[in-house]
Amino acid sequence: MRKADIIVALGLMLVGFIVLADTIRLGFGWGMSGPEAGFFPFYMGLGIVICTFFIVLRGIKTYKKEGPGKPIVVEGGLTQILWVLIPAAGMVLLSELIGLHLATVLFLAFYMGVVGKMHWIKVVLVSLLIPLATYIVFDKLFLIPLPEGLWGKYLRPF
Amino acid sequence: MKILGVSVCCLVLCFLSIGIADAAWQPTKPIEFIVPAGAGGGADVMARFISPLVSKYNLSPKPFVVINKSGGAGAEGFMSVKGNKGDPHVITLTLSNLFTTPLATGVPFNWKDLTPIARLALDYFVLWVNAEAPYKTAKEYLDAVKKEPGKFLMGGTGTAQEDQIITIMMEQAFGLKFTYVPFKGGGDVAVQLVGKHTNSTVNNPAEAVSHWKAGRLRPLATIDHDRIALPDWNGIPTMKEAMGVDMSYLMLRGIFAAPGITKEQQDFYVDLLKKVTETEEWKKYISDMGLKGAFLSGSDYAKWVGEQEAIHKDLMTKGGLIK
Amino acid sequence: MDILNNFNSLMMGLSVAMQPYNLMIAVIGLILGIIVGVLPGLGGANGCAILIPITFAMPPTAAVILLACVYWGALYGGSICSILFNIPGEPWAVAVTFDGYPMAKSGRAGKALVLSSLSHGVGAVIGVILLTFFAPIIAEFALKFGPPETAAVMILTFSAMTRLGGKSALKSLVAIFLGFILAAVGMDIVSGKLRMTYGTVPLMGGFSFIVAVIGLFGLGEIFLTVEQGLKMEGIKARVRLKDVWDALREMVRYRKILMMGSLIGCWLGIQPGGATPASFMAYGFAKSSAADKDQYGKGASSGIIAPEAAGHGAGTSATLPMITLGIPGSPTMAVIMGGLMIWGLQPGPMLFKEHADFVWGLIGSIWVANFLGLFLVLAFVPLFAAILKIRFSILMPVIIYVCAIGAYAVNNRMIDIHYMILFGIVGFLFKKLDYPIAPMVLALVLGSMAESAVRQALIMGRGNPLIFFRPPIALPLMLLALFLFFLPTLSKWKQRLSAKKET
Repeated sequence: MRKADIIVALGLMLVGFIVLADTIRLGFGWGMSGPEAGFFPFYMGLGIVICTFFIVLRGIKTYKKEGPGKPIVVEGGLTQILWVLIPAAGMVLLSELIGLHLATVLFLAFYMGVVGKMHWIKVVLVSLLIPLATYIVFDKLFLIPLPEGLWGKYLRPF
Repeated sequence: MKILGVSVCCLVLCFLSIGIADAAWQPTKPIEFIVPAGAGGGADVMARFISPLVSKYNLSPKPFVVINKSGGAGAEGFMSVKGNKGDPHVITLTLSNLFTTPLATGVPFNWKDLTPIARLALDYFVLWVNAEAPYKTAKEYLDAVKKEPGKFLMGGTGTAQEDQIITIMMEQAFGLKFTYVPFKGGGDVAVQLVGKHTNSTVNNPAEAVSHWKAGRLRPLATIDHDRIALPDWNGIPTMKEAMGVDMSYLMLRGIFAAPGITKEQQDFYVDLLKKVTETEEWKKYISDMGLKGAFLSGSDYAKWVGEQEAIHKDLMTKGGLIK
Repeated sequence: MDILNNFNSLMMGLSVAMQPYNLMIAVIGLILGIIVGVLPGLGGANGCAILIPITFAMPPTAAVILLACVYWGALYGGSICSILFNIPGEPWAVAVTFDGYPMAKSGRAGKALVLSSLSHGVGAVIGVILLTFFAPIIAEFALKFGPPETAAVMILTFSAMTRLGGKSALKSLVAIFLGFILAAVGMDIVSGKLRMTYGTVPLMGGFSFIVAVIGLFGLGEIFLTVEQGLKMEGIKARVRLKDVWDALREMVRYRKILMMGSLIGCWLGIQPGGATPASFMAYGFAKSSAADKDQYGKGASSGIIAPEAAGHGAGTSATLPMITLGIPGSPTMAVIMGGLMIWGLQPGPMLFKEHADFVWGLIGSIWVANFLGLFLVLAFVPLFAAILKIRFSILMPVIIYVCAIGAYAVNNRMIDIHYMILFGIVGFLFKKLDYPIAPMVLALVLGSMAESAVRQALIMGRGNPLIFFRPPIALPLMLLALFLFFLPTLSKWKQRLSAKKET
C-alpha cells in the first residue's frame, strides 16, 4: 500500500511536470487583460508537484518507520481484477480490428462461458442477441455508426 | 434481317446507355456528414436541415448521418476527414473556421487537404448595439469608441475567429480600439449585449434577429458592399454608407469531401447539393436565417476558397492573431 | 392581471398537450427519453438530435412535444444508472451517486429510485410553476448574469463542496488540481490556443467529462467489487410497496431540503449548463445544514433528494432562456433550438408574441409530460431494480459494453474507449489510496466554465479583480462563497472559544 502510494504520487508529479512544461510555452503571467492562457494550468500543475512532493516525503517516512503495510489489493484480489481488466482491454483492442459489436460477441461469450461457467446454449444466445439488438438500435434505427474497426467493412453482414 | 440487325443494335445501344448511366457513382453505405462544431450551433443546424431534405427528395440512395466532431475549434473534425483519404462516404460542412483554426492554432491542416465540393451560402455580419444605448448611427458609436480607446467592450464568438477578425478590420479602418471579449457561442454573445455586459457585437442576422424584433438591440451597419437583399434587412445601411469606408466580410458555409475521391464521386455531391439549394425549404431557410444564397462549385469554388484563405491570412497577420 | 392571463393561456396550452395525438407523442417521447437517459453517454441531446429529421414531417407543436418529452424522459432516466451502478449518465447526475449508490448497494435500490423520481417530480413542478407565471421576470433576471456573475456562481459551488474532500487535505488538493488540468486540455476559447495537446490530434478534443466519469466511477467500482471476489450472483433487490411509502415519508420529513434543492435548481437552470452546479450546490448545502453529517455518503435520503430536486428543477427552468432569450440552457436545449429554426420558428423574445399557441403548447406539455413521466418511471422502478438480480457474469460484460458505446458516442472517437479503461484504473487506484474522486470530477466538469468566466470578467474589468464584487448580484454571491469557504474554520474557532470559556 505504501509503496503504491509513493509510486502513484510520483506518477502524478510527473503529470504535473508535463503540464508545467506546456504552460511555460503558453505563458503563465498576468497580462494586460487578466491571466494568460497558461496561468491557471501553471498554478494547478505547480500545486500538484508541491503536494505530491509532500505526499512522497510522508510516504517514505512512514515506510521507513512502519514498513510496507498492507498490500494495495486484497490478497487474491489482483487475479480477480485481471479477470475483468484483461478481457475488457482485449475487447477494446479487438474492436479496433473487427468492430465493437463483433468484439463484444467474443467478450460476452468468453466471460459467460469461461468465467461464469454457464450452459453453452445460454452463452451463445445471450452473446449473439445483445450485440445484435444494439447493432440494430444504434447503427440501423438511430443511425449512430459505432466503431466497425479496420476489417469491419468486409465483415458487415447486412 | 436488316431490321432485326438494327433492332439488335438498338437494344445493345440501349443496354450500353443504361450501363453508362449506371456508371455514374452512387453511395453504397450511409454518408458520414461531419460537422466540425458542437450540436445546436449554426453549422450543426444546417447539416441537420440538409440531411432530411436529402431523404425527402430521394437525392441519395443512402442517408446522410450527421456526426459532430467539435474538438479544437473544429480541428478534430477536419483532421478526421483528412484521414479518410479516398473514402467517398465522408463529407463535412465548414464555416470560416476552415481557415481560421489552422492559421491560429498551427494544426497541420489546410483546405487543400480536402476535396472542395460546393459553397452553399454566405453569412452576413451586422454591427449591433443595445437599443437603450444613445448611439443611433454607426458614425455616432464609432466616434464615441474613438474618443476612449479600449473602453468599449466588443463581444464575439471565440478568439482569432471571424468576429475578432471583423473587430480588427474596423479598428484598422477607423483608427480605434475595442476591448474584445470572447464568448462560447453566437447566441450567448447576443444575450450578453442585451444584458448590457458588452457594448456592441458583430452578430450574424440569425443570432440577433429575435432580440432586434423585440426591441432590445439596434443594428447600425451591415458589413458588406451591398445592403442585405431581404425584406426586413434592407433598411440597414452598409458600412460604406455609414462611414464612407467600404468594408466586407462574409462567412463561408460550404461542403468539402475527403481527399483523393474521383471526379464522378465529386459530381454526385455537387449535383445533389445543387438540387438541395433549389428546394422550396432551402429558399425559406436561407431567408429565415438571413443568409446569402450563393451556390458555387467546381474550380470556381476552389479558386474562391483560395482567395479567401489569402484574405484571412492577411487580416490575421495584420491583426496580430498569427505569431 | 398578468397572472390571470397566463392562467388562461396555460389552460389553452394544456388542452393542446392533452389532444390524443399529442398525448401519444408525449408517451413515445418519454419512453425513448428514459431509454437514452439510462444509457450512459447517450443523453437527451443525442436523442433529440437523432429525432430531429423525423420531426420534419410533423406539425411544430407535436414536434416540440416529442423532443421536450425525450428531454424530460432523459432527465428522469439520467439518475437510474447513477443509483444502480454508480455510473452517472449525465454531468448533473454525479451528485446522486454519492448517496444513491450506497443506498442501492445496501439492498434499498427500490427506495433510492423512488426517492429520486419523486424528487424529480417536485423539482419539475416548482420549476414549471415559476416558468408558467413568472417567465418574463425570470428572463430579465437571467439577463443580469454576465461573466462576473457566472464566475461568482462557480466559486460559490466550489465553496459549497469544500467538504467533499477525503481524509488527507494534500490528496484532496491534488485531485482538484488534476480535475482542473484535465478540463483545460484542448482548445482554450478565451485565448484561442491549444493547451496541453503536445501536437496530438486526440488530445485536441480534450477529455470528455462523461468518459472520465464512466471510467472513474463505473469501471473503478466494478474493479473494487471484483476485488472482493467474483460473486456470480446478483444482488437481492426487491421493490416493496413499503419502499414507496417510506420514500414518501422521507420526502415530507426533508421538505425543507426538497424546497431548497428545487429552488437552487430553478435559479441556476437559467444559466447555460446550470444543472450541474445546481445539483452539486444543493448537495453541499444539504450536507452542511444537516444534523447527521456522517450519514452522508452512506446512503442518506436527503443526499438523494437535494441533488435530484435541483437537477430536475434546473432542467425545467433551462427551457426558459430558450423560449424567452433564444439561448440554450443546456446541450439538449441547444439541439431543440436548432429544431425550432428548422421548423421555421425563431427562438427568442418574439416567440411568445408571434407563436403563443406553440409556446403555451410546450409549457402545457411540460406539465403533462412530468406527471406522465413520474408514473412511467415509478412503473419502471421494479424493472430497473430487477436488473441488479441478473447474474454478475452477464451483467458485468454488458455494463462494460454499454459503457464503451456511451464513451464512443460522446464524440464518435475510438480513443475515448481507451481513455475510459484508463480512467477505470485511475479510479480504482485513487479510491484505494484515498484520493477523493468527487472533487476531481467537480473540477473537471466546472473547471473550463469557471476558468473562462473568470478570464472573461477580468478582460471586461481590464485586469481588475474588483469586478467579481460588482453589485447587485455578484457581490452577495461572492460574500456567501467566502463565508461558506471559511465556515469550517470559523466553527472550529467557535468551538475552541467556548471550550476555553468552560475551562
